[in-house]
Amino acid sequence: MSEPVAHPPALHRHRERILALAALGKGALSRFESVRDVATLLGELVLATFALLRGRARFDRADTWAVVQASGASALGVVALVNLLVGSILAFVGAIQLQKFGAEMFVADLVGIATVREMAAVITAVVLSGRTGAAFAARIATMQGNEEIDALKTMGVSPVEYLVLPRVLALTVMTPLLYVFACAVGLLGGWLVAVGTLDLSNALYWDRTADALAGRHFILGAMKSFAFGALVAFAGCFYGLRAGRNAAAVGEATTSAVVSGIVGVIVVDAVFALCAYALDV
Amino acid sequence: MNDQASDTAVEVKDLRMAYGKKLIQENIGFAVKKGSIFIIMGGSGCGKSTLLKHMLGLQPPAAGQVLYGDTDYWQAGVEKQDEIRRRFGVLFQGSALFSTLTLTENVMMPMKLNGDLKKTDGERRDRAHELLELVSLGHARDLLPNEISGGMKKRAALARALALNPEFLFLDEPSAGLDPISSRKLDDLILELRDRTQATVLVVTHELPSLFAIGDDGIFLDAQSKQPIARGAPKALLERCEHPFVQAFLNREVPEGESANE
Repeated sequence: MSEPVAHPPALHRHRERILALAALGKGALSRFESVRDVATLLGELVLATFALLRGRARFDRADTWAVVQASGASALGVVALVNLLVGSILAFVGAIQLQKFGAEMFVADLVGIATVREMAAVITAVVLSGRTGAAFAARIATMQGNEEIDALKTMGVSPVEYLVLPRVLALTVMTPLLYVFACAVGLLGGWLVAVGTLDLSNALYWDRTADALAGRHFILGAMKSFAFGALVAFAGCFYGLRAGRNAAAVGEATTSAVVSGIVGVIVVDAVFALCAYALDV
Repeated sequence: MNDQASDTAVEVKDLRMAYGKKLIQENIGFAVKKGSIFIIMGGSGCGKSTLLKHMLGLQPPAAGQVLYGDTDYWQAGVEKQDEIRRRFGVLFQGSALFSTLTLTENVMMPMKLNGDLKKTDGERRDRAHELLELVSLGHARDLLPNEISGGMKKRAALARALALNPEFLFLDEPSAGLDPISSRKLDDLILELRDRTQATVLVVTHELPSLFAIGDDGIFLDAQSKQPIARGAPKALLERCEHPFVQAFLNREVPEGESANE
C-alpha cells in the first residue's frame, strides 16, 4: 500500500483558487441561462398574445374560465382576511404613534394612503404568489413529469399558447379587480380599529379618508397590481415549464415560483416607488 | 432510386445524439418504409427514447438530419414543423393522458386543437367513442385516467394517438409494465391498426415477445460502442446477426465476459 502523495501548500492553494473560479464561472453561466430562458418565454408569450389577437391562438376556453375562477373569485376569502388584518394593523400602529401628538384624526389618512397606494396591491400579490402562482407551477410541473407537455407539442400545439397565455391573462386581469376589493376591505379594517379605539366619529373618519385619497393613488395602485398579476403568473408558469421530471421537481418548481414571485413583487414595487418619487406622483 | 425514395416514410441521416458534451449515440442512419413497423431496439440507457424525441421534434439532435419526405425537420420553419407534427400520433411511455380530462375528452383533444373545424363537438365526441370502442374501452369512456389500470391507459393513449388518422405512429415502450396477456393484446391491436390505417409505425421497445411479434424492420443501438450495431427485422437479426451482444440480447442471455450480478 503506497501512502497518498502530499501536495505542497502552494499547489493546494492554487488548486482551490482554480476550483473557486470554476464554481464562479458555472454560477454565472447558470444565471445567464436563466435570463436567456426568461427572455425566450417572454418572447413566446408576446407571439402567443399576437396569435390570440388574430384569433389564431389554440387554447381551451373552459380551462381558461376555470383559471379565471380559481385565481379570482376563489381567492376572495383569503384576500379579504389578509387585507382586513393589514388595514387594522396599520390603524393600530398609526393610532399609537399619532396619539402622542394629538393627531389621531390623521389615522384615516395613514390607512387610506398606505392601503390604496401600497399595501392592498403588495399584500394581494404576495397572497396570489403563494396561492395561485404556486398552483400554476405545481400544475405545469406535474404535466411536465407526466409527459403531458410533450403530448401537447406533438399535437402541434404550443404549451405557451395553451397553458401560459391563459394563466398570465387571467391573473393580469383578475389581480386589479382583487386589488379594488382589497382596498375596500383594508379601509374597512382601518375604520373598525380607528373608530373602536380612538375618539373618532364615522363621518370624520370617512371624510378624512376621502380628502386624503386622490385619484393618482388609485391609478398607481392599480398599475402596480396589473404588473404584479402578470409577474406572479409568469413566475409560476416559468418554473413549471422548467421543472425536471423527477419526484422532487414539483416541490422545487413551486418553491422557486413562490420565492421569485414574492421577491419580484417587492423589487417591482421599489421600482414603482422610485418612478413615483421621480415623477412626483 | 426514385421508387425507393417514394417508398420511404422517414429517413434519419448521420444523426448524433448528445447531452451537452456527453455523447449518447452517433452515426445513426436508417430509412423507414411506408406502412411498415420499425423497431428501435437496445439495452436500457442506450438512447432509444432520445432518438424518438429527435424524430418527434421534441429535442434537437447534436448533428444530423431527420427527413420527412424532402423536408429536414430540424431545418424547417416553425409552421412547417407544426404541419409535420400534425401527421404524428404518439403513445408516450407513461401514456401522457391529460389527468383532468375523461378518456373521451382526452381523445377529443387533438381533434379540438388540430382537427376539422367544421366538425361539431358532438361529431368529435362520436369519433372519440368510436376510437375508444376500437381499443375496447367503450365502457370506460367517462372515467378519468387515474381511475383505470396501466394497460387501459396505454390503450386510451393509443386511441388518442389515432384521433387525427396519423401517417406516423410513434410508440414509446408500449408494452412496458403490462402483463403478458395485455401486452400480447396490445401487439395484436398495433398490427390491426397498421393494417387498417396503413400508418408507418415506429416502436421503441426492449420487450422481446413484442419486437418479434410486430417488427418488420429495425435498428439495434449499443450503449457501449455508442452507435448502431445491427439493422434488420428482429427475427432476421436473431437468425443471422453474429454480433455477440445482439445475440445475447435477443436470446435473453448474459453476454460472455459479464457476470449475472453486473
